[in-house]
Amino acid sequence: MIKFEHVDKVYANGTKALDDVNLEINQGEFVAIIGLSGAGKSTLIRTVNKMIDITAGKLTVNGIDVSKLEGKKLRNFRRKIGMVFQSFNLVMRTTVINNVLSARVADMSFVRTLLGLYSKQDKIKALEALDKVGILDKAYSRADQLSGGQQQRVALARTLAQDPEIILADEPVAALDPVMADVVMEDFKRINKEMNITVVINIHHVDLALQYADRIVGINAGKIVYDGPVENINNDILKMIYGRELTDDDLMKEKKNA
Amino acid sequence: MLKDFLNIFYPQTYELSCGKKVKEKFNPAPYITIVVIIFAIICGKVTGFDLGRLFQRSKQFWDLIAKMIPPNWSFWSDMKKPMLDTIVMSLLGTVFGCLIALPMSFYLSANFKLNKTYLTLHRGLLSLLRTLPTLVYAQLLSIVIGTGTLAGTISIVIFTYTICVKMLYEQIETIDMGPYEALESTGASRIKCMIKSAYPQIRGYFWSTVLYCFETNVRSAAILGYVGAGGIGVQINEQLTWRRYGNTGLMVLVLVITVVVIETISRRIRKKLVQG
Amino acid sequence: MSNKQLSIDEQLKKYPHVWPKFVITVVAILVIYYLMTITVTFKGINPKGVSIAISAFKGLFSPSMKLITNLTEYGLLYMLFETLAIAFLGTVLGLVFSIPLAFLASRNICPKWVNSIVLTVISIIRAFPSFMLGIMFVKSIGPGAFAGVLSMTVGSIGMLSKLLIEAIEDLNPGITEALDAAGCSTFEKIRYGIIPQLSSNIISIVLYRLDINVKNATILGIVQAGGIGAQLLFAIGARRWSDCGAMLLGIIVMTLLLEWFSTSVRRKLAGTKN
Repeated sequence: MIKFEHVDKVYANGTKALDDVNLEINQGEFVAIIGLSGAGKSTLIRTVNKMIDITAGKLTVNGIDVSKLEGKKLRNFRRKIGMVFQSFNLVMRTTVINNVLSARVADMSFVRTLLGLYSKQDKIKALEALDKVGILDKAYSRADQLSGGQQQRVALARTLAQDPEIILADEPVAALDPVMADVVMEDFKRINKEMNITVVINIHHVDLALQYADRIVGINAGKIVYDGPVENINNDILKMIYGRELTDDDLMKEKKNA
Repeated sequence: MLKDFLNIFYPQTYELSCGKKVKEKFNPAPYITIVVIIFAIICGKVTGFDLGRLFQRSKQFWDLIAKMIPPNWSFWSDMKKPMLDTIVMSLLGTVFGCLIALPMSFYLSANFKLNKTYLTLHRGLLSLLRTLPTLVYAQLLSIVIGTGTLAGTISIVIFTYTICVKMLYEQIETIDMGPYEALESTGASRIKCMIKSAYPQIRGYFWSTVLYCFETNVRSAAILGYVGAGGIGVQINEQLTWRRYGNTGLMVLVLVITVVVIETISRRIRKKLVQG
Repeated sequence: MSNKQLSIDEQLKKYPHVWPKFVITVVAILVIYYLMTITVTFKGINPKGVSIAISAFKGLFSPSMKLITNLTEYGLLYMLFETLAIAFLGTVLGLVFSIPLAFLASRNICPKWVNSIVLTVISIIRAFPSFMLGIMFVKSIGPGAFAGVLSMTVGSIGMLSKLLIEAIEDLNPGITEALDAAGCSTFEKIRYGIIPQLSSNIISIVLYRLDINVKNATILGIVQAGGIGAQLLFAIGARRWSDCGAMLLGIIVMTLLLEWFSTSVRRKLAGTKN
């Protein structure tokens, strides 16, 4: 369970990115965080594994106080939390399988890491992860030869290879076309349901959020302005979250028709 | 005519037919040219530049080359070992210099948020060391640890290290830090993140830098023998003093061929490395 | 067993073996070790080595003020200036020879057979180690800075013309075509169509080579081709450490100043181009 209690984040330049955030996310939930860009979505997600440290309040994950973690303890904690990024963050000049295997190095000895000696179990785990996202046949292609959607699925497989309990995804489909975005979102949904992994996803496109998530958290200027099941969302609530009428940019499917 | 010439020194104002006045942009080129010419004349005086002497003596230059042809092939057995030494010294110096430079360049690149003052100081020290030629290190070392190939090799290691580490950290500063962030989020330690996310991005560049350093070192290692730091330089010095031009000719020929062969091979591999 | 499981096994078998890499690494280490044993002779550390190193270190940090303040031909400043003069003149003269060579070797200016002849000439000149050129000029012209200038001139031609060729071959062909259409001669094309496009390139190439030449000029002294090198190596040999310290300091300051000047000018030129 992820639990935010009165969490603030103020950046060194004075920007207040999170303002008194209170939020509880249970194991196995699929939560979409929506809001304008710059509303604090990215910051919120990155505080969960302390890629960004909070400045006030308390943040616990499965009972562990995140802001107290340092060094080796922090690294051990991070192993159970996967992360997927908008720009995929793959090493383009190497093979898909090497990218997926890199998620295993946190558990490996230094010498094995240096020499690239992965154990058989790790290789099987990596291949199974690729199989789960349906690109097992691409294992030995170079990452830069894959389409954007395939690259994001490699990134997802990399996250799965680390056996996470939670997956944090920061705008995972923003760089994809609508068709690929659907495929990747399906993957997230399936993984969430089949493996009971908590998925917290930042997403700008309202239609995708409504289609795939179980629960919506709306954020505006660092404050949570809506938190509830997907069914209760209506136009007034969206207007409150976005502070304006929705435009075509906020919907991925509109782009396809345009 | 003279007026036209003087006009190039300041911006002209033209009146267009519509009555608008247009001023030219200031052009520093003529001033730079004049400064360069004046400085070149001063330098000519300082260095004793003398075209007359050049023409007078140029015959001797061609005579010298003529005396080296044909090379004395039988000298090969005497020069084999020092020539090999020169190549091996450059190879060892390159390998060790670059191997030390690789981890250090990660340490010294700005992406990995080390202490700023420390970074500046360390880099500053390296650029001081970089200004000194290999020969100076070789001379100093041959006094401290004795003459021979060891002094030469170590001086090449130092020189290679200072060059290679700079080329690498500048390259590392241009890489995509996304994969590093992704690996950091899996809980891998900093050094593992560098090995698995940053190194693959500079691998091609690293090997190309190694080859480049090897090329440069083979060229510069030949001279180290002059200060007793091993290699073919000793022989070149001796044979020239004894006016055995045929022997010198062979050494020059072998040296030139070696440089050309190494360069051609290395160019070809480097082209592939940079593309791949 | 399902189809899926089989596929994972198949893919696992395709995982590249580690042993070729392993063998290459081991062979490389053995070769390097072998080369070290046949070449690098270590005759035991010079027993006086440590004390020499200490006194050298002390000397380097207490440079001889006498040498620094001496303004005659035997003082530091004159030696540095002579070194700079050799490098500067060598670079400028090298450029004078390189420009026509580069035009002759560029595919977009001259016919192919001319290119290949000139390129061969350039690569032969390039292959000569610069100290060999120094020796040859000292032997024929006589020792001194003049020989240094000449060897620097010839030694610069290789790199300068190579970089110039790259710059010329990258030129925008539209401009020369326009001049062609206006009926210009080849000379006019070069003067009005190419030189203006190239000038900032030429300046940065020359400054880059000047940097390298100043470093090279500090070692020309060893073959009696002028510059600070002869005095420096002599001082090291005679263990006059404080003189040596002053000269090393001089070289460091001069090289760093020049490097700073040349990188800032080159950065500025690169900035205005965009």
